[in-house]
Amino acid sequence: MPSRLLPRKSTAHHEKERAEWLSALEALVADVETWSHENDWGTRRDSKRLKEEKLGAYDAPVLLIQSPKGRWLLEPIARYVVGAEGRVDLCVYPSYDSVVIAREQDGSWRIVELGRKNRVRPWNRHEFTKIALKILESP
Amino acid sequence: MNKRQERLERMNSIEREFQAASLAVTFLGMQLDTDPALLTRHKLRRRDFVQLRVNLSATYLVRLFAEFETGLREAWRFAFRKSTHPKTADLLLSIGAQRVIVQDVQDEANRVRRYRNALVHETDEAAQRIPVSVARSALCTFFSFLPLDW
Repeated sequence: MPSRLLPRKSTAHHEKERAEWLSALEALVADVETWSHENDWGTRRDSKRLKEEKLGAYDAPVLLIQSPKGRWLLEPIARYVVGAEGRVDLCVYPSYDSVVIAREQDGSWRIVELGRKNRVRPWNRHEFTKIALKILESP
Repeated sequence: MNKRQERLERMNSIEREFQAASLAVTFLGMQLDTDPALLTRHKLRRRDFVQLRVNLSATYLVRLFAEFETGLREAWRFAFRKSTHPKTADLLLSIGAQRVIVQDVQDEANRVRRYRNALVHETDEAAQRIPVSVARSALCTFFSFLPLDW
């Protein structure tokens, strides 16, 4: 059970938002764990403490992914971000070349390659694997 | 050095300059306590010194924000290839959406923007005073979400 501190203005709405966000994160991490294992990549879970004005402090799951070609970190950034309903970064470790995984209003996720024009891909095993290998090879 | 880092270092350097200026003002104050005629010899008045002390932080905050805004507009033009010239509030929002910036980071940068506007336009807006170090941190954190280079 993730530990949490109450935000400055704790409301039932914020409690619900935090629980819903943590549940979405758990589902995302579970997806990445499953797909990584299917790719014969190892995974290890950890957690990080996030603090947001609206949600207070809470512990969110982090996933370290290991393949023969390199390592990635799946790292939650925040529930409240501009233009999405949550952000998680998939970063190459330790260079931190990264790609954004953004949550849509309907709760689905999408992969966003930030650039002059952001390139958006759907969230599925094929696209996850493709983008993970692509950012590993970034100069 | 990439463009983002260059701009971040310029903002950090403005804060250091402010710290040096604050020290200089403190020492001048001590000097004036022992030699009240010091300013008169330079055709200045005590009132000028008082104004300097009162306005120092605001002067540097405005300069810090100018550096930040120049960097944002440069990125807007060269990183995002936009030819428009939006209002600063809209620029922050557009870049925020483009880079999926954390809302708290966006809000802090906007708070600095509103305080800077209150200083420059002398509005009655009850913008909360923000120390230069806090403003620098907020603006640099926002800026760190921009692309590395352009």
